[in-house]
Amino acid sequence: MQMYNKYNKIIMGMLLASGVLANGTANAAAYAVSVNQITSFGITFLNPTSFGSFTFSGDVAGINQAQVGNGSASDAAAACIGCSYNNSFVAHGSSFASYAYGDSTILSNNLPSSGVLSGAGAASSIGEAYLTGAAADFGYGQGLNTMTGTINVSAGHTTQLTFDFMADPYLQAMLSSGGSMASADMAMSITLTKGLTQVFSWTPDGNLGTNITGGTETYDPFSLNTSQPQLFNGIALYDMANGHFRAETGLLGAGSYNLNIQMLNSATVETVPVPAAAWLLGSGLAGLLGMARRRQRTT
Amino acid sequence: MRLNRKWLCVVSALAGLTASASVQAGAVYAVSTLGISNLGITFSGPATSSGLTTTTDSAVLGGVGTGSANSTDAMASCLGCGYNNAFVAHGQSVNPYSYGDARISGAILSGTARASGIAETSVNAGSGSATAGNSFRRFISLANNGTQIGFAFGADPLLTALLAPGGVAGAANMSFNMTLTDMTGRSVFSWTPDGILGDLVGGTEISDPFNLNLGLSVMTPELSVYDPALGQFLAVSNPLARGAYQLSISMFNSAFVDGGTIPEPGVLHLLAGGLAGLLISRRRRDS
Repeated sequence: MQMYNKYNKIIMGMLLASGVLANGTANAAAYAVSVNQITSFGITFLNPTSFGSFTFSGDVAGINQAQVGNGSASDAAAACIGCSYNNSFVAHGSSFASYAYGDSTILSNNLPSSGVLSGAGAASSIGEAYLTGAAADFGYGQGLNTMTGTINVSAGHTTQLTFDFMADPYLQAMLSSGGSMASADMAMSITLTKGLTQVFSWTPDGNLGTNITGGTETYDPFSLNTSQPQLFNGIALYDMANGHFRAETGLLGAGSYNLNIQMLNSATVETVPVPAAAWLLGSGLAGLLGMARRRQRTT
Repeated sequence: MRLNRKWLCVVSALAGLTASASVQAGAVYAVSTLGISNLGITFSGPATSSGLTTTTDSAVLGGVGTGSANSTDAMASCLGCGYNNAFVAHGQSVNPYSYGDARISGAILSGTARASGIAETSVNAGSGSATAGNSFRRFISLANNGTQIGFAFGADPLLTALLAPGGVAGAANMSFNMTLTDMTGRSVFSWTPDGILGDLVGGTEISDPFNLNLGLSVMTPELSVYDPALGQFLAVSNPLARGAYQLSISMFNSAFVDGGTIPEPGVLHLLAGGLAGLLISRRRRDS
């Protein structure tokens, strides 16, 4: 018990010391990255059906008041503040200076013969942001891809669509002293509508049979709609091996259908130097109070 | 033979005229809005919770654009427009514009949090896009084993995509998810409302009236709309072990349009076609 008290005192002393030290350096670090790479994307039909598609890619990066956004049909120019990455869909980690990176690209987009109809569709997006030092207090990066499609089922026919793809997501959020938040977020969904009616909707969530309407899941190994928030010092990681996803729609009658496939990756980081200093002051005060109380109790 | 050549010249001159008169482009409009109201989290046992919010938006017109971010009210990104915190569909316009905006207000612990996002873009040619993102991230500490966390909110989305003849494609997308992770980063509760009761990982859905994770597309002249009335969403987590958790609630709206390319510049093509026609017919007459 006596020993326990002694240790408590040491811990309180460390708390006080760390408060002073951290106030002196005032360096914060927060890092988040969200990246997803979709490959071997294929759409197959049961019966002769006409198909047309178009794609959009977009990205955004921002550090405080500096912001960049880009959009394109298949490969939005990289949005990179404090960096010069382009179509680099890997985690770049911490750096000497703050940076924010958003990027997206779609391959084999408008070529049915070599694209999604032959199972060769591919899309990647990344959102990444890193903050260091006391100057910056907000950073974010976003990448998003969308494919629109139109499907005509001729009169007297029915069809079934099968969606098949590989997904390789990586989410990481890291916070060290002085950082207030790092978060990596990811979303992906496939929707089929006919007129004003939603006939098929799929949001892969890592559970077979859930988050799908108007169809059946064959493979759904892990969630593609998830987040890694980090609000205390530490690292959160969502790192799945390349996984195989597959689902098919129910029977679709004659008519015209609209297809929408969207994927989004975003990273947000915040450091709040002034409140952090206030928090440290608070912890120092708490330490002092604790020591005072302990002294009172022992006397 | 001679007549044929002459006709060819006339046709080539006419082709120049018609190509620039009926440009290969058309109007496309898309909007995605989501209004979240009375968002609240409740605990079945003693708990502490603190956190922060982020709002981001962006607007792109013709390939390049701008973005904005803030903890509670990102400055509007509006290219070709002057909207700010105007979370209603403004509709198609003769002047191209892209509008992204996001805002959060209220308090999640008292069930009064609100989040609004809009992504809206309208073009007659070329491309446009807009995004809006709102996020709540919280640190949660549960004092007792077996504590359950309840999540409640009202949602009012509107997605519209409209394409006129000549346009290429338009899309309006929306996503919404809640993820609760434990100290090791493992997901213990994950909710992506889809309009079907019962499919929730790590908890129970009590109310899930419509889909909040979907996209609309148009590639032929038509209007596509997703406009369910305001709905109430309610879910509760499974009993959780005491300890620390991190919560992320994030929503995202995006809109993309492509109106196609105008033969550029149209007048020059017409002039070139006409001149070529004249030159050929003159040469023919000379020979």
